[in-house]
Amino acid sequence: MMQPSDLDPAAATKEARLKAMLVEDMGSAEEAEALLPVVRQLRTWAFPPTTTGEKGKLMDRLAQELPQPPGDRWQLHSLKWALLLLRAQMRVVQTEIWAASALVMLLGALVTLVAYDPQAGGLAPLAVLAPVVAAAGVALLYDSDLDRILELENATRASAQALLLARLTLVFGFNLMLSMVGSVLLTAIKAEVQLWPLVLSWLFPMAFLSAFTFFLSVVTRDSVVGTAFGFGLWGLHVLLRTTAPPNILVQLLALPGLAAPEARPWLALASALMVAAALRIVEHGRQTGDRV
Amino acid sequence: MVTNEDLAHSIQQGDRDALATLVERHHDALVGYLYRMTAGDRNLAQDLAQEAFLRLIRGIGRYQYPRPFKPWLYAIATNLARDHYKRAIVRWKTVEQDSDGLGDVEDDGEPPEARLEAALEARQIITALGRLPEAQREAMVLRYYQEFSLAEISQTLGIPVGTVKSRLSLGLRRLRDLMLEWDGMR
Repeated sequence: MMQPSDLDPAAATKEARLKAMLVEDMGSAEEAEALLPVVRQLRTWAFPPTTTGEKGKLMDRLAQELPQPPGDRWQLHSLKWALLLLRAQMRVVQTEIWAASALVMLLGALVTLVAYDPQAGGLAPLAVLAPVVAAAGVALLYDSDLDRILELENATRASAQALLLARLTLVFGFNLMLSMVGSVLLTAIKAEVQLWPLVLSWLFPMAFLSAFTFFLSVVTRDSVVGTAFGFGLWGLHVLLRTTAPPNILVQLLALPGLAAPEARPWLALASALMVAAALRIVEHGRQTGDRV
Repeated sequence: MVTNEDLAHSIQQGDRDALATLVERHHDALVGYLYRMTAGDRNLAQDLAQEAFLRLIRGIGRYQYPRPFKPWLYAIATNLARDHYKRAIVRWKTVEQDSDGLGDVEDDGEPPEARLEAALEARQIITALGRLPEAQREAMVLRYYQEFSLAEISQTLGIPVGTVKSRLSLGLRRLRDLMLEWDGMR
């Protein structure tokens, strides 16, 4: 058997290190000594060295994936990328969503203009319709063309989450803008309607209901279910604002505090959580290959 | 010397020089690891090493400084090797039959007989490692070829240090038995 004294200093150091490793692994010097020849033999299996050319090619490939340096240029780049993504997704969202949303919002604004009396209390028709329209648009985003989203994800650097978030931003933003324009016009034409109370009466319910229907659509994989539950919840809430609930269960289902000012932070938080959870589910489904 | 963790942190900021240093530092060793994990398939080891680096760069945004870098890189490589065999429905033992071990021996002027003997020895090691369960083989290669510490193996494979030790101990004993058996047959 080869003795350490037969080895050159570098090999002797290696041998000593190997022995120390074996003692640590086996817990006894005797056992380590017995197994040393096995490890020595293992280590005779060398591997062919790689070439500089191979490393160069790898570096070129990796450099393409290197994150961009931070700074203004990067922020500008991110902003440009986000805008490009939004513009690209605008073409993909079903055109009916834009048209239907605009039409219903216009109707809500007209009815509010003609029939709404702020002195009588209650929700303005615009405030009733705005959350419903936004929620329906957002729910329809999901299941109609998820396969196309996943195909796009394969073809671009954007993730399924980013694509879905872009569409969500577009549709929700569009409805937000319509509702805001409607509210501003209403307050301009009808002096007794105040802008901020009107805006606050639809803004938080709109966010909550949209997030709720989106989340349900993702979880149930069916936009109809998401829309139906969202509409039901909101319908019950609107109805029970003026009518006494038949029982405690219905009263709870109608979310009595939905329009209360103190509920607004909670609605915003719940909305953000539901959207985040839905996007997480989509990403998880993509990773596991499940069509969630 | 700049640590691997500092280099990874710099790569997060888009530092190309840091990336070059990291590749220079780890590429050969990683190919070596994957070479042993793929029963001596050099091309496959190269491909998997490239894929491991690509995944690392794509996921560099998730790197949390100063989390140990090397176990992270090798965990990616280990998963790739495992996935390859799962996906291809090819097992190590069958691959070992394709490898003649001759590619493992450099033509460094040694006589052909010596080269042939080294190749046969390599072949024997490939066969012996192929007889081990995957979990033991991974621990053995990381320990005795890559010279990882027990803690690094534990982090790479996501198992306790005690489990690492028991896998090494079982693996080595099994290898010794195999080698004794073959020596007896010679």
